[in-house]
Amino acid sequence: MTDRLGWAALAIAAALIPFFTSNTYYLYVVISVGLLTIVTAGLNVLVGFTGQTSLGHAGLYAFGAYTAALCVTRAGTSEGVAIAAAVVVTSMVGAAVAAAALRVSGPYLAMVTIAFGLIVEGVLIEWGSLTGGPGGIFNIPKPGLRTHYWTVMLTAALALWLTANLRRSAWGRACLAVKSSEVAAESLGLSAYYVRIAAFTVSAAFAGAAGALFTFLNGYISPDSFTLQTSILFLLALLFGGLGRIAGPVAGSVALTILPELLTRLLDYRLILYGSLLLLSIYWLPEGVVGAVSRARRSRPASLEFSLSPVGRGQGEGSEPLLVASEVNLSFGGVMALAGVTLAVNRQRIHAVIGPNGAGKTSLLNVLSGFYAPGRGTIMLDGQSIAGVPPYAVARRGIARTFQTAQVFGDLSVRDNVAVGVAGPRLGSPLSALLATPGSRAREAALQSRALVLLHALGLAELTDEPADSLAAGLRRKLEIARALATEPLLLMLDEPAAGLSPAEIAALDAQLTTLRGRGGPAVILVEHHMDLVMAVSDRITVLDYGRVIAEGGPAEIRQNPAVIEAYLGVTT
Amino acid sequence: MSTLTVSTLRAGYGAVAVLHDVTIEVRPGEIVTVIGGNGAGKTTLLKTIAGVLRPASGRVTFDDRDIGGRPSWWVARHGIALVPEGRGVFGDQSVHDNLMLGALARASGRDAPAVRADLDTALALFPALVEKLHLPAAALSGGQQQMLAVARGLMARPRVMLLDEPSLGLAPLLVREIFSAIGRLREQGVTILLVEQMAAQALALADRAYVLERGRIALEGTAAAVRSDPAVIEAYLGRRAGAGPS
Repeated sequence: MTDRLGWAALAIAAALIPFFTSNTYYLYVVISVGLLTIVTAGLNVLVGFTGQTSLGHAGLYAFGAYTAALCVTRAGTSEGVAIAAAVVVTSMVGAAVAAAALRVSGPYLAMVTIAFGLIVEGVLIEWGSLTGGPGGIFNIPKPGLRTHYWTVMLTAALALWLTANLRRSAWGRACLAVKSSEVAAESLGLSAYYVRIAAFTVSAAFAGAAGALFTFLNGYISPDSFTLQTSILFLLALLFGGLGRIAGPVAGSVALTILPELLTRLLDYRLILYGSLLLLSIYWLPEGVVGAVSRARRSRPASLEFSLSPVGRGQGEGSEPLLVASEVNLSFGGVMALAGVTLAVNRQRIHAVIGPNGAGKTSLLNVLSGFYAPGRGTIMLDGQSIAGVPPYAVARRGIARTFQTAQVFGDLSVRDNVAVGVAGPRLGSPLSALLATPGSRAREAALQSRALVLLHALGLAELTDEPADSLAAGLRRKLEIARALATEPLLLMLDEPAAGLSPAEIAALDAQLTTLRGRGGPAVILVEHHMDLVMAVSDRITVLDYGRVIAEGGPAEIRQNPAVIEAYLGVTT
Repeated sequence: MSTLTVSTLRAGYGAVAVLHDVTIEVRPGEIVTVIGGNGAGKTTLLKTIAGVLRPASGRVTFDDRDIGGRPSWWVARHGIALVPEGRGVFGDQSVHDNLMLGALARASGRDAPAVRADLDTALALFPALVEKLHLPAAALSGGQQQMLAVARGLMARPRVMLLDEPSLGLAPLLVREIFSAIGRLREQGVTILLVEQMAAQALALADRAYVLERGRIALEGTAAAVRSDPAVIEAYLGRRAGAGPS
């Protein structure tokens, strides 16, 4: 509510300014704030939501500016067409850069984007016949300052609205999921690479629009406006305002445009000022101005109707095993983690994999879910080979899993964690998410109610709106299971789900697994050390030791097996 | 003397309090265990003692000195070692180097022979680590990483060890091993505050116990008394008391 009032006040203030002043200087300053807001709103999608840093956005800004300028001066198009062309061209450039650059991440990505920015700047200077060289392009027909003021303000408002829509959509959650745990995101069928490219492309489109509007502000552009320093300014405005916050770009843009203007006499010290602001914001405002001011409290309509529809993809009884792994080998630098492991898992059955620590149980799960490619051997899921298929593609074919150290998306609420699983790779088009089309809203409502059903079924309903970060370890495991079930898998692989649970909670897990099987749920591979749980729920048990299968059979058989007692159980329990 | 006391402690994350009013005492040479459900605040308690979190109010004293709010490195240097839940080993570095890093926190006896002697002691407790000594810690299985974390804590020559679910993710044989290793630690004069989900095993080993529920101490007493409390049997021991010595 207070959020809405804040936005309304901001909009009214921006709308009133032209009526109170005819001083073009003020309009110019506010337009600059608007342009910076547009760029940083886009950058927020990349850096704030997706966790990828770009120091090359001035290059994209330049693409927008020069495309618009060339459209108007060379092709004689209208301003509107020029802006649209700038957005399209810059998006395409952004997608191409992203496809190449996002093979790396972290500091490498920052370096690649710096290089991109420098190359663009260099080309602008050297390719004189097209760009006008160091002198740039001038005499660009431009609209009146007041008209332009409205165009920029409306575009800035649009930019913020689009990012707010995106944040609330399946796409926004996918971005945050990739930022928070790439491994977990891939295990839900999301390709981290693809999500990052989409985020980079969106941010490029915003930079392109702002660049075009910049062209029509001055009627003159030159390479000086598109240096590495500009890229740093973009990032700084975002960090200072509040990374990942919708209002962050506004706060940062206001501060970083107006402060230097107030201190024009200190123009020579501008860089020192920027540097100090950066340090200040990192030390004192790690969540930016907006983060410090607001304790963003999102409220959602709580629709509590739920039915326990079966969790699983209506699957036939089929006598064929669902998953068959044969003679799977895996080695790490000469150490055999798995040596000729063969495993067959039937539909709707619980198949436990047990063995001493270091026996290769987690390695087996990692091979089955595509995180490692087996050195030798075949893995068939439902008749199709999945050996060497990347994790997100394995997930899409119906294998969901949890991790030994629970990988929840810490920035997201409990409900949103599950909603990422419900959506999986089915994110819809980024465009409909940005625009919050009726279709996208309907899809969102369906996702949210499905997520709620799962949270109720797993006894997490009380924690719906808690950030996943704040959960105790055992609850994170529970959340992970809910999220994995949300993908409606054919096969669910649980890596030590009972670790860190109290005996009462283990009994509850036992009941849940049994119920799941009774309701036609997925087949389960259960890696677990709590023997009472394993013996109670498992249909089959495979025992690994030193990467080899040392026994296979029903619980009663395994309990009596001398090799298993020797290697694993110790005294019979 | 070197008694660790926590009195009327309130602590948590940001504005959210997890511990509301916790008072416990750990006397020299004791094994004290804290049991409780998920989200009860067991880990928060250990983190606050270790200086990872600052108390919102209340006191933590050790050696008659107020250590509440001291930074974690300071607490470590003064003889309290935390072995965190989920291991937290340095994956890129070898097992050997992980252990040597543990020795950095010791207050005295940093000379090479003393460190080597302790290294031998730690490896004797966890022989599985010997053959892996020069592999990166990330190459160890989960259970081996857990053993490494405990061994690394020992290298600090702590007077008090805070163990956060040392049995987590260990095979039944290793669970027994780790509990007997904890018993041997006591024989070496290390005081232990143990947080465990395997309540039966923890209570079998401990001298005294506290039951933590929703951030408050619900019950305290000798381990034997707590073990025979009907409410504890119902909530934490149950019929599924885990596979282990009983």
